[in-house]
Amino acid sequence: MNAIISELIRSSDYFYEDAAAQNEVKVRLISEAFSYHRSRNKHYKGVCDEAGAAGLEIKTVEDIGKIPLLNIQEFKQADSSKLLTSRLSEIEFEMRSTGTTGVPSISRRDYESCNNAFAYIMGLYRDFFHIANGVGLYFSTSLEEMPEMGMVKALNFMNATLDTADFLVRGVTFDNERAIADLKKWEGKFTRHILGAPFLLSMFVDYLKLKDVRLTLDKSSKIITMGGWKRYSGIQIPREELAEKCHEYLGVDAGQIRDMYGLVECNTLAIECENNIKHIPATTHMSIRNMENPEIEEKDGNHGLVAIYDPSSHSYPAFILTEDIGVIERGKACECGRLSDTIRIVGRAPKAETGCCAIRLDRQMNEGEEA
Amino acid sequence: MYCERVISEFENPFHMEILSDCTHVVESTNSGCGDEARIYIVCKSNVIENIGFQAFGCASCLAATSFLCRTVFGKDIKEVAEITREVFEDAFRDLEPAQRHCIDMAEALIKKIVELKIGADAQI
Repeated sequence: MNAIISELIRSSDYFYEDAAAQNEVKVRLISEAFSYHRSRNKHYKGVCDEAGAAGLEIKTVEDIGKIPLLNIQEFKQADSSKLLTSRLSEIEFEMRSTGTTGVPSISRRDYESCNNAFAYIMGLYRDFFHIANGVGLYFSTSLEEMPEMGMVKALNFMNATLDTADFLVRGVTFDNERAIADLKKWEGKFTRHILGAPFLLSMFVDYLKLKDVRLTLDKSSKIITMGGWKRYSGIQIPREELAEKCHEYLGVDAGQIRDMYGLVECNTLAIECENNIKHIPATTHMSIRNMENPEIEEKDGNHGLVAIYDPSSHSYPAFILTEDIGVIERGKACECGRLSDTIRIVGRAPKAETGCCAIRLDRQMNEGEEA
Repeated sequence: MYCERVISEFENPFHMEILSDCTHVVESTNSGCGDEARIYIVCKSNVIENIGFQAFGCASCLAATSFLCRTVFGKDIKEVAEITREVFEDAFRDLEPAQRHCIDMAEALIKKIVELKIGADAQI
């Protein structure tokens, strides 16, 4: 699996190649990863045996859907150690996400998984955002406060290309005035970017409206969001309404607001282009599963549970059935020039915990205010 | 990244199971990182006759809880009361700074076990 990193770095190039080229790399990498984990991971081998996939060979994109999936809930179980293909002594980093129940989902990455994640995510950020400098206003905690939180870690990769940054959540409080002061202080000196959870962006523009403060970010500014569009309270954040408010109070167009979809358990991200369409890298496969029977793959265009096949995970098999509901379009020729599969996330499974890093942050801030 | 003790406890956890016949349950949560540990105790005549655990969180949390169970198994509650933080500090002395919260959790769990004031007829 060592050669995978060179393909992950090339992920951005594959977006612009035809379906045959994208499918070739997808099948090759996922086939290798599947064989690797099935032959070395006792738990996953058992899952494969039980699913009748002991001898399964992956030769086409259609075959990928036959790969047995791990339910995302397995990463939250007390015996999640069984998911490891690598030894604990090889693990370098434990990343976590916590939802409303408070039970953390733990994903453990070894040397190769970390290498892959870093290369993969940075490559995707470069392709979608073209950010090489500027300042980052983080609508989140700093890594100092929550070093293992997946959302914070993923967003902080961007820091490598920024000139400076500020983190607006300290303790359990978001500092609106500090955000305004930062944006004014940096005006005319740096290109200003905002990165963080949608609920905090929503709260901030509501604050700007309340105080009747209108700012104008820069023409290359990006507002990069991650962490889901549902609040801890269960209320959905209205995306279009938020975009309108951002236009009015931050002076940005909808195309400058880019949401990302990913899991703490995977190294991959589906990032929005300037048309607000989330593109799936060719080095990952996503499929939509029937809500009642996830073994059944839904037809393109139908909604259902999202399954992710990420071959870049070396320490455990990242073939995961999520609790997110989505819709996939295959090989969409987007106006941005990319030819990849695209995904739209439309909600969470009815019985699923409302869960992600942003929800945990939201909950902690709410509890902090009540205390 | 992990000291030998964490690796050995993680790979060979001591009674990582729910005990359906337990007489007591204690649990502790680290509000910062979300780690959670739950210990199931079968205690008769003030002696911990059996113990099981579940740990939800990082490997060091699981290891410290496993080590705690290994340490208190078969002991009288009075003996458990004598187990100090230093026992865990010593066992996990090579932890990285970010992993040291597991010692806090183990110490909290020991205190909770002692605070149960387990009697011969105690039941949950």
